[in-house]
Amino acid sequence: MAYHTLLFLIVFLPAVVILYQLAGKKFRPMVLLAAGYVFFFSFSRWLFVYLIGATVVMYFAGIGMEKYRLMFKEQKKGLDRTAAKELKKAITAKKRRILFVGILFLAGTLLTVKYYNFFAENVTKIAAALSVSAGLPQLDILQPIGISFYTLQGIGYLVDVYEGKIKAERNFGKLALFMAFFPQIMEGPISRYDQTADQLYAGRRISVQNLTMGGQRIFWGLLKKIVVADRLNTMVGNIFSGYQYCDGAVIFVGAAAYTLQLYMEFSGCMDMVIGTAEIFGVTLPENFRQPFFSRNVSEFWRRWHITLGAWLKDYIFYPMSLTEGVKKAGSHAKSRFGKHGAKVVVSLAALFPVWLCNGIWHGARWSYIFFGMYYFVLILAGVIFEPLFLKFSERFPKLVKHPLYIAFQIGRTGVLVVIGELFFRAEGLKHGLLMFSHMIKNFHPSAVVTGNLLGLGLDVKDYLIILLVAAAVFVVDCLHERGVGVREKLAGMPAPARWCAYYVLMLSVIIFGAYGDGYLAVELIYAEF
Amino acid sequence: MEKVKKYTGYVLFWVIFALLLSVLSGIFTPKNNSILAGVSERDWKPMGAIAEERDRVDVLILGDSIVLTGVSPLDIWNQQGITSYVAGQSGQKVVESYYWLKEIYPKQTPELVILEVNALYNGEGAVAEMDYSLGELVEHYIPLAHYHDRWKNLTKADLTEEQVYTEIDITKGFKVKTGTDPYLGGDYMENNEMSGEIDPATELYLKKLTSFCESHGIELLLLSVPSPQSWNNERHDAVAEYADAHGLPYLDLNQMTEEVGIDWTRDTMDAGLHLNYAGSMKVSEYLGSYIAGQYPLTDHRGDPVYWVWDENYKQYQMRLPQEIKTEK
Repeated sequence: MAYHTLLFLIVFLPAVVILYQLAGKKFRPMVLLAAGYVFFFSFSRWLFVYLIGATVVMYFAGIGMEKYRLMFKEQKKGLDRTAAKELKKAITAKKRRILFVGILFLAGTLLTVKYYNFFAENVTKIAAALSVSAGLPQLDILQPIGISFYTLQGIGYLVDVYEGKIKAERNFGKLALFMAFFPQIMEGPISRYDQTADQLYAGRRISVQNLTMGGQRIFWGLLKKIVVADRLNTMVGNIFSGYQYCDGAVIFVGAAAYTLQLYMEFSGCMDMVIGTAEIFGVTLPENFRQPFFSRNVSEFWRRWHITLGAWLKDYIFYPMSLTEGVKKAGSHAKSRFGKHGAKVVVSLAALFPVWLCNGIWHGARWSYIFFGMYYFVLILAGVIFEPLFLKFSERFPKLVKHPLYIAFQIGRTGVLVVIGELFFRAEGLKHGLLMFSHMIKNFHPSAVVTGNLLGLGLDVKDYLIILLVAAAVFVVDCLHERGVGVREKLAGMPAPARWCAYYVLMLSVIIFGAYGDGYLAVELIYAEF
Repeated sequence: MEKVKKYTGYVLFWVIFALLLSVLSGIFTPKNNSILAGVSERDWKPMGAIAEERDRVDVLILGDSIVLTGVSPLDIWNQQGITSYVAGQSGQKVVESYYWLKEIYPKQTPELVILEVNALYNGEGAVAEMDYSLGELVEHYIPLAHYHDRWKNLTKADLTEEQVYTEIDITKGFKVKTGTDPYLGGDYMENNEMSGEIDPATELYLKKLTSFCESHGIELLLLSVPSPQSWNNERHDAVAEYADAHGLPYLDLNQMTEEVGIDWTRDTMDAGLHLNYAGSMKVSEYLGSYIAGQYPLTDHRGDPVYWVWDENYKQYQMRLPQEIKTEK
């Protein structure tokens, strides 16, 4: 029952909306929680005990840490500074133990269900290479859908309680709802407790405005997902599975098409998710901010899958930067190579785990780890060469502001992103490397015209409709980039114009959607992660 | 007043949308039942039943590729004079069988509907089937959703022409399959690898199909064409239980392969999933005799109104692949 299916759109969602509206303010959060569990059960069946288990651990770990925080508050009264410091140290150690156990449970579950077999396979391979007759067995472990998303939310909650940023939640239902809000359980966005919990529990009445705005955004997401992303799926699949027979330029087009597919699919799904939440008066954090306007890859990752980037920054990058070892290494580098040297060393130490986690978060494959390392190298290179870029900017201030130079930067970032996605989509690292090498060695731009792009599952009309919708998305992204609220503008138009726009949007999804006879159903890509 | 205006606006918005869907459905629906006109290859055979002359089909057979390749209506015609038509499709699910029956019924009023029950097991789980069934429901009432991809091939004629279904399938829905790949696995009914559980959405549509037949005075026969790769006792029991509960006859030819005369070294084209032409002849002969004996169906042979069936039989015989003709 994914977000783009009829079962979700015309049965589940309307049923939840009606039940939610009929229930009183007090019972509305319960309706949402029940809906979350039904939704989760529809995918993962009895694996939903993982979700409940995670919530139970978070609940008790949070309360445990809160108890020690209050204890410290109570006991420090009347203590002198040294004794208070000692007490804080002792209490912090206890809180840390609880945090450790909580994270161990949440991350341990994720690591076991998602990565054990990958780990076992590689240990066995290494053992075989060393001629040691040892190895780990492969286990038949089922992975509940959305575990990669809700685990990060759970860890975020525990760390925030530990750091005292938020108070531990004593209402189990409220915490459970934060973990199981059905629109975001499959693909995120990964939200922090203080971003959504109160909104979810507020039980606001659904207004016509909510319904209209939410519905509008859901259809916009459907347009991206069903018309463009799903239509591109066959062509992308054909190029990636038969790259050996394609010209380098066609491979590049395939990788670019996959990048477009992923953007349309993931951002489209986020539109559906955020639109659904909007119906219930809940504002979820945005996951995309016109990523293809980025001038470098760092900026790209601040605009693409924003909530994952923010989570990694808050819960890995900063804690790593502040560890004693990294601080010491930074000071040492500063004394030897200056301020920039310190920045490079700290970035090196803190960015490596961030990008390793980013890569492997997508799945237990070497190609994902390579994908993470690819960005690690690019971003670290950006840090290393930062003084050069600054000098260049100072020397040519007019040039760096010139639209053509900006366009060049955007294009360069785009090419780097497309290369990254090539490795991301390839059937394993070996194929990724072979594909990349084949692309470089056999690159003939003319092949785009003569290289049988029409023999890859799409005809001219398919390409036209993809370009048309992609152009519409580009225009909307341009307007967003300029700060124009397109949806608000649309909602404020006179009824005939507004209705026409809605009819065009809805009918475009129905008519141009890549579904039904002749099309294979395409599952949500990020739900697999 | 303001409130009334607001709510009228909401209603009007959806009424206009419904009208748009209706008008576009008319435009997008193929004007003929040919593939050239926009009918998919999968739909072409069942749609042929609508193209047949009115009230000519006495027995409508529904199901998936197992019945499509397993029962030859024209051989039943030749032997019993019963007019039957296989409105089957590869991978047909019961929800599709139900909607085909509804689509075909206004044109044909069969006395007997035969459902090949492997269609009960073509699903992918309860939730997926609910979604699929919903899709079929939407496509039945909003044909635009089914024919939406015709935007690529619409012509001016689609705006003006009426729907006229004229393209007849001379095999009456049967798919002739040659070639032999024997099944050597022995008794397969004890094989318990396939679950007999019928998912809720499929059962719902089986019940709808049952009650449609009941309310229209149509007899319903549940049938299993022999198929070692798709049938076992567990499935037989599940269907038999349903048949008992609803007072329906269930003819499982997997349990009587000897009576039917199936020789698994010769009668299957793909190691026991589908029958080949030789196997289908045996099943058609057995099924023809069975329905002729069990139901008051008219033998139309010699009736000048049915001359087309004789013609079609001749054409079908002539068009049989050479290898079959040689064997004969």
